Amino acid sequence: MNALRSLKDRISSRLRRIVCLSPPPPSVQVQARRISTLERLPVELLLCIVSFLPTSSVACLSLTSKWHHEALLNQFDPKWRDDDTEKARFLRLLEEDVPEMMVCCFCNILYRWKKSSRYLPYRCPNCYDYKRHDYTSTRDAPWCYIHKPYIIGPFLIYRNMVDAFLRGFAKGPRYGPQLEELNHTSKPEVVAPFLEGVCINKTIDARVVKGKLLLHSIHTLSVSLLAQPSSPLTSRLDLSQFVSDRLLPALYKFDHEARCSHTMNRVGAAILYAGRLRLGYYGDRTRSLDLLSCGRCATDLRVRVELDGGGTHVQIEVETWQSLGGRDSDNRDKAEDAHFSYPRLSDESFDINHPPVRNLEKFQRRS
Amino acid sequence: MSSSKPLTLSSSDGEEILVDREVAERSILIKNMVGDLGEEAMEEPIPIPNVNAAVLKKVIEWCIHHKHDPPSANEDDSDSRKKSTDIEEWDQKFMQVDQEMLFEIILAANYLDIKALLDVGCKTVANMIKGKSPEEIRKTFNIQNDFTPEEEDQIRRENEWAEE
Repeated sequence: MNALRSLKDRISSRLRRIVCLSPPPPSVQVQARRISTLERLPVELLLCIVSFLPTSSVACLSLTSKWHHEALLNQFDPKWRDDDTEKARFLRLLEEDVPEMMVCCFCNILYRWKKSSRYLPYRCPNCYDYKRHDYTSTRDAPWCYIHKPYIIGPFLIYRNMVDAFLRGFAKGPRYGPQLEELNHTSKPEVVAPFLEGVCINKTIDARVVKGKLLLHSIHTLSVSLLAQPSSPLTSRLDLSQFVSDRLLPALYKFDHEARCSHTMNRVGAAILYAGRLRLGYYGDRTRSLDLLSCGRCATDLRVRVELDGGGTHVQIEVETWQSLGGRDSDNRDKAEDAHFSYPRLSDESFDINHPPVRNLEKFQRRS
Repeated sequence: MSSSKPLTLSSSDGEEILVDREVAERSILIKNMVGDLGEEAMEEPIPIPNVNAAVLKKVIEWCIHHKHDPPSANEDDSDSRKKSTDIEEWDQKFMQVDQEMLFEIILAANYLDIKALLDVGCKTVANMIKGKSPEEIRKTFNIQNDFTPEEEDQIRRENEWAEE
């Protein structure tokens, strides 16, 4: 009996010794001075958790408090010398906490989007530093011909601006500009005051569909067939005079507006082609070339030519759908990047017979 | 069902829990203790002084479900272990507990030396951190921001995260 009790005592004593040799959990020691469950963990367990995290998240965790900052200081390179992708991810997470700043997709820094120039809104301050901004992918795409402050050329849209609008749409006005800035209707007298008998009108509707910025524009050109457009009693121009004196100059201007970066001079040709179909022959009142797709960038166009006002006006309408892509690289495609890429490629042929397989009109309607 | 005698584990709050040896030995700490003491260890409750009964029962539940898993290799820092935060469905459901319990399970898994459970717990916490901004992480874990705005700005500028 005594021997059995002695054995039990020996076992108990050994068990107690083994248990006592095991280190007490450090959490017990730090529990009193910290509140957060995460901060209650000993550093070795924090490092175990961190081993499952991408460095972008480790960096975010390190910014939550001074304790985490010190504990995680050696777990990543704060200058991100070898990992631009993770740096970009980190800055995208960080910008969530600083509405006044956003990440430039080119040079991977946070910049104050509201602070940029009035003439170059929402643009990164490094935009002309071609060591930091890749020259070949920082091109501007035409947006609106008449939008202030540019009177003589198209006002431009660029990647930073697309990103700013997408961020503003997703998070609200503290985080970025709102789509209303892109939506507008141009008044005809402002657009084309230089040619008598010519009116150009434009409406832009900006939307975000599946995280991509889409612009839907309707450009309308109205050209009078009357010799004296201001007086309805004057005789009509003959067709050749109409084309050379009025239609071609109007189309030249129109062509600069109702196009993407790659279709300069092509839209005018398409209009003339549709016009020839209409003006040269009898038949339907309206002729249209349906959904021409730019072979380079994500722009689709539809051209309509119509005789209007009892045959006193030629009404030309060019409807464009442009997808400017999303903020994340996995929500952008080559055609969307092509809006902003050099070389311009405007001299390469625009093959309307083999358009890319897409239908931006349908895509936009999904919204 | 294991043919060996069950072990009795005694939690920090004095509750005694019977558990199959095969299940209990998912814990390397207990396995080594039993190995050290031999069959005599079956006679006495094994004290687990750092784990209360609620947490210990949860840990045992995990060990029962995973009792037939192959013993984890010495996988300390293998890249595959580090990179994957995938958690199998049963473990995901198992870890759907309040934060207090989750961290207690992690501490218990660390103390009892159950590597696979520790990994599941750490992955669960990692998934709660991943994709969140510093402020979102603070909210998730109730962390107090003790940086001043000037200090935050200085960190951003020093590390060249923001324009001058």
